[in-house]
Amino acid sequence: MNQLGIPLLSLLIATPLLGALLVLLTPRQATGMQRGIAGLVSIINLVLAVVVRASLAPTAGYQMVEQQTWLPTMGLHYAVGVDGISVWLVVLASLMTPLAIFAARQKNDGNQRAFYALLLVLASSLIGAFVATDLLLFYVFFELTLIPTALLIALYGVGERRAAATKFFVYPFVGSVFLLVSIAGLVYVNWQQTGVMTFDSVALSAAIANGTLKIDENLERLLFAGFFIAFAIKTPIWPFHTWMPQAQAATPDDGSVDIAGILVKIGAYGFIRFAIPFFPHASAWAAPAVAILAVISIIYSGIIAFGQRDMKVLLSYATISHLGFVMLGVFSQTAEGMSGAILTMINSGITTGALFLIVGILARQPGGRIADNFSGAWLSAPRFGSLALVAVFASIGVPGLNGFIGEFLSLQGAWVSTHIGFTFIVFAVLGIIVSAAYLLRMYRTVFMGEVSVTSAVPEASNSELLVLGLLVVAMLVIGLYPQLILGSMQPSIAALVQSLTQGATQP
Amino acid sequence: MAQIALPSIDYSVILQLVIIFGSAATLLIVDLFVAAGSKRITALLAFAAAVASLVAGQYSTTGSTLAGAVSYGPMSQLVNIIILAATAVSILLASDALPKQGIERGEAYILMLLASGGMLLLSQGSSVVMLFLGLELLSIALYVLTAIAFPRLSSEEAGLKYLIIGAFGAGFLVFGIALTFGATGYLTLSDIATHIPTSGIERGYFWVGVTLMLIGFGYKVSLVPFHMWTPDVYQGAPTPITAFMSVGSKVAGFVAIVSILQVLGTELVVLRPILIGVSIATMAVGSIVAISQTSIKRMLAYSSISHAGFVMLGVLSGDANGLHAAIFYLAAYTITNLAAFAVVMLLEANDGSDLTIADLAGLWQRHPWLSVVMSLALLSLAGVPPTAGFFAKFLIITAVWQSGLAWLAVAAAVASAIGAFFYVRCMLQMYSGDSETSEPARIPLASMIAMIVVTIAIIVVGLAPWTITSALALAQ
Repeated sequence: MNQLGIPLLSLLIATPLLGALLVLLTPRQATGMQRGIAGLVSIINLVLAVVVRASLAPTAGYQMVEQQTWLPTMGLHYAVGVDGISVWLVVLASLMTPLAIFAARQKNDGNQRAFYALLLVLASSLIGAFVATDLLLFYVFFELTLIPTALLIALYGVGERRAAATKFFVYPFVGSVFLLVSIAGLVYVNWQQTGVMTFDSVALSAAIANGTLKIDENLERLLFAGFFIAFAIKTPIWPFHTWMPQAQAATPDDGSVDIAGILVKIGAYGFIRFAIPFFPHASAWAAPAVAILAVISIIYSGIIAFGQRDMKVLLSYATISHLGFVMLGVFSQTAEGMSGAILTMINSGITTGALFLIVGILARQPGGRIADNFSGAWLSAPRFGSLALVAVFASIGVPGLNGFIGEFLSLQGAWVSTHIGFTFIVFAVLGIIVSAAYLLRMYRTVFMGEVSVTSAVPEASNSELLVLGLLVVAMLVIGLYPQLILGSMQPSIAALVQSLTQGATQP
Repeated sequence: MAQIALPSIDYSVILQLVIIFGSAATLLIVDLFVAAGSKRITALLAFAAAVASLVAGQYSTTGSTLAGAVSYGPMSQLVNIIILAATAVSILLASDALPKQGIERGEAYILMLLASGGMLLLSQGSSVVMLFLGLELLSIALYVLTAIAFPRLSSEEAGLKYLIIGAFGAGFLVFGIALTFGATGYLTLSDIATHIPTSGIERGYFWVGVTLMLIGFGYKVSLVPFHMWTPDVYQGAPTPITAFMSVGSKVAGFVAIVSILQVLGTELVVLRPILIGVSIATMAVGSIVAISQTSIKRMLAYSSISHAGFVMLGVLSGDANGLHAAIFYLAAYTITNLAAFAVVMLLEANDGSDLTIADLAGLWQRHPWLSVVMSLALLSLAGVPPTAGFFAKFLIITAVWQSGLAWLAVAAAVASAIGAFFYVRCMLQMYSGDSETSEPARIPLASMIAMIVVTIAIIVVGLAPWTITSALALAQ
C-alpha cells in the first residue's frame, strides 16, 4: 500500500484482467472496438506501472506490500510487493503489451476478441509473477503465463502451431512440477526446524541468511535442483532451450506474440529472487557448471543463429545467446553481475522487442520472414533502415547503446566472482563477436545492396516509425545513462549480495 | 429359541441414507405411472431426492447407531456432500444425455440414486458387513446402468465385463472379511482395531484378510493391477453413467480403503511398501498408457487410473495431512471429471458412438464456451493453476513430504509431468485445426446448469481452496 491506501500492485494485476473481460464482452465483429479497449487498458496499465516506479523509495526490501491470508492452514498468503530488482521488469512487462497490440494485425478468422484478451491475461500473469512475494503465489503466476501464450500460438500461429504450442506448454510445465516439489520440500524443512509453516519468500530467505534454517548439504542440492530445472528451462539455457525457437517459428508473423512473450523467460528472475537466496551453498557449488552451460548457450546459439534464414528464429537464438550472459551474471553472485543480469534482461526486452517489430513490418512483404528474400531496403525505406540499424547495434552490444552496459556488467561480475573467474569470459566474448556476425549479416542482406524489384520494402508508417523511434531513444538513454535503472536497483542488490555472503558463511 | 434382539436405530444418524433409499423405493413405483417420453419427471424427482439428502446432512447428528455398524462424523459429512452433489449433477446431465441417445428409461435415475445410497453406506459404514453391503449395492446398480443402452452391443459388453470383474472384486472382499472376522472375532472396525492379533497364525489370517479387503476395493477404485476393466467399461457405458461411476465409486471406494487402513493404526507400516508400490504403478500405468489413446473416454479412464494413484499417495501415509489432501483431491477430481464428461456428452453423436480426440479439432470455432469448459477441466486434471486440480496436487505433494517420503513426491511429479502432455495436447487440439462438423451442438438447459455449476466450482476451489479445506479442518 502507498500513502493513499491504493493497492497499486493489485491494480496492476487486475487492470489487464478486467480489460480482457471487457474485450470478451464486445460484439464479435467490432474489431476496432476490441483493439481500442485492449490498447487503452494496456496504456492505463503502463501508466500505473510508471506510477509504481515513481513512488518507489530508493531503499532495500519490498515496498507497497499487500498481504491477505489465502489458505491459513498451509500458511499461504496473497502477498505482493515490489523492490528495485523487480520494478523495472514490471514496467517492461507493462510496456510490452501496448507494443504487442500495436504490432498486431488483422487476423484472418475474424475472431480477435480472444487474441486481445489473451494478450492482456499474459500481461497480468507476468506482472503477477514479478510482484509475488509468496512462493506459491509466484508459482501460480509462473505457470499461468503458459496458458495464454500457448493458446495464442495454437489459435493464431502459423505452420506447425499445435505441436509448437504443446511443446511450449509441456516442456516448461515439466520443469515447474519439480519446482513445486522443491517448494513443498523447502517449506517442510523450514516448518520442521522453526515450527512455522510459511511460503513467505522474505521470511524464508531471512531464515537461511541468519542461520535459523539449516538445510542438510545433500538435501539443499536436491531442492536446488528442482528450482534449477524449472528456471533453466524457462530462461532458457542450453540444453533446455529447444522449446523456444520452435515456439517462435510458429507465432504469428507480425511478431505481436513474441513481443508480449519476451518476458515469459522469467527464469533468470527466479534464480535471482528465489533459487540463489534460498540455497546459497548449493548455488555456489553449482555456479561453475551453470557458467559452462551459459557459455555453451552463448556460443552455440550464436552459431545456430548464423545459419538461420528465418529472421524470427534467428532472433530467438539471439535471445538465448543474451540469456547466456544473464546467467553468467546471475551465477557470479556479485552485485555487478546481478545488476548486469537484470539490466540485460531489460535490454533484451527492449532491443529484441524492437527487432521483432522490425521483422514483423518486413514480414508484411511477400518475402515474409526470410532474410534472403529482401534486398536494398535501406534505399526504399531510409528512416526505417536507420532505426533498424540502431536496434541491431544495440543487440550486438555496441558501446553507447544499452546492450553494452548490461553485458559488460555481467561479464565484469563473472570475472570478479569467486565462483566463476575469467576463463569463462574469454569464451563468452567470442559470443559477442558471433552475434555481431549474424546480426550484421542479416542487416546487410535485408537493407543493403540493390533494391530488388520483387520485394521493395516501402517506408514504414509514421506511427510505426514513432514507436521504433521511442524504443531507440530508450536504447540510447539506457546506454548513456544506465544509472537510471541501475541506481534504483542498487540498495536491493546490495542487500541481496550481503545476505548471500551471510548465508554462505553459515555452517 | 432365543429371541433376536434388534439393535436400536437412531434415524438422525442415517437420515441421508433413509432419504435416498426411501425415495428410490417410492420412485420405482411412481415411475410406473410416468409416461414414456416424459421420464424427465422421474429424473427431476430423483434429482430432488439427491438434493434433499444433501441438505439433510446439515440436520444429521454425529454418532453411531445399529450397534456401531453405521456412523456419521465430520469426515463422512464431507464425503457425503461430495457423493450427493456428484449424484445430483450426474442425474441432471443424464436427464439430457440419455434421452438424446434414445435411452428413455426412468429406472436409470432410480438406479443412480440406489448406487449413491451404496456410496453413502461406504462412507458411513463402520462395520465390515456394512462396507460389503455398500459395495454390492453400488456395484449391482452400476452393472445394470452400464448395460442400460441395450441393445447397443458395446454397452452390453461393458456391463458384462464389469459384472464379472466386479464379482471377482466382491469375492476378494468377502474372503477378506471372513478371514479378518476369524482372526479377530469382530465385525465393527473399531473393535477390530483394538483386537489386532499380535502373534500366531491369527496374525497371518488377519494380514491376509486385510489385504484381500483392500484388493476388493482396489478393483473399485481401479488401482493397478486391478484396473484392467476400467477403460473398456468407461468406453462402453453411456457417458452420463461413466461420469457418475468415474467419480462416485472412486470417492466411495477410497473412503472405504481409508476406513480399513485406519483400523491398522500404527501397524500400517507393514503394508506401506506394498501401498507405495501400488500407487507408483497406478500413476505410471495411468499416465503412460493414456498418451496413446485416441478415444476421449478411454483417455479419461486412464487418467482416472492415474489419479487413483495420486489419491493413494495421500492415503498411504496414514496421517491427517495425507487424509485431508486425499479428500481434497477426490473433491477436486469429482468436479473436474464431471465437467469433462459433461462436454463429452454434449458433443457425442446421438447413436452414442465414441468421441475421439481428433473430433475436438476446431471446437473453439464451433462452440467457444464448451471449449473453455473442457480446457478448464483438462487443465485441472493436469494440475495447472488456477484450477482445483492444482491445489489438489499441491496438497498431496506437501503431505507426502510431511510423511517423510520425499522421493515419492518426485515420483508423483514425474507422473504429473507425463500426464500434462496428453491433457495439454488434447486441449490445444480444440484451438487449432479446422472443425469437421460445422453444426454447433445445442446445449439443453439441465446440462447447461450442471456444467455452469461444476465449471464455477473448478475455478472457485482453485482460487479459494479454503472452501474445502475449512470443512476438512472440522473433520480432524
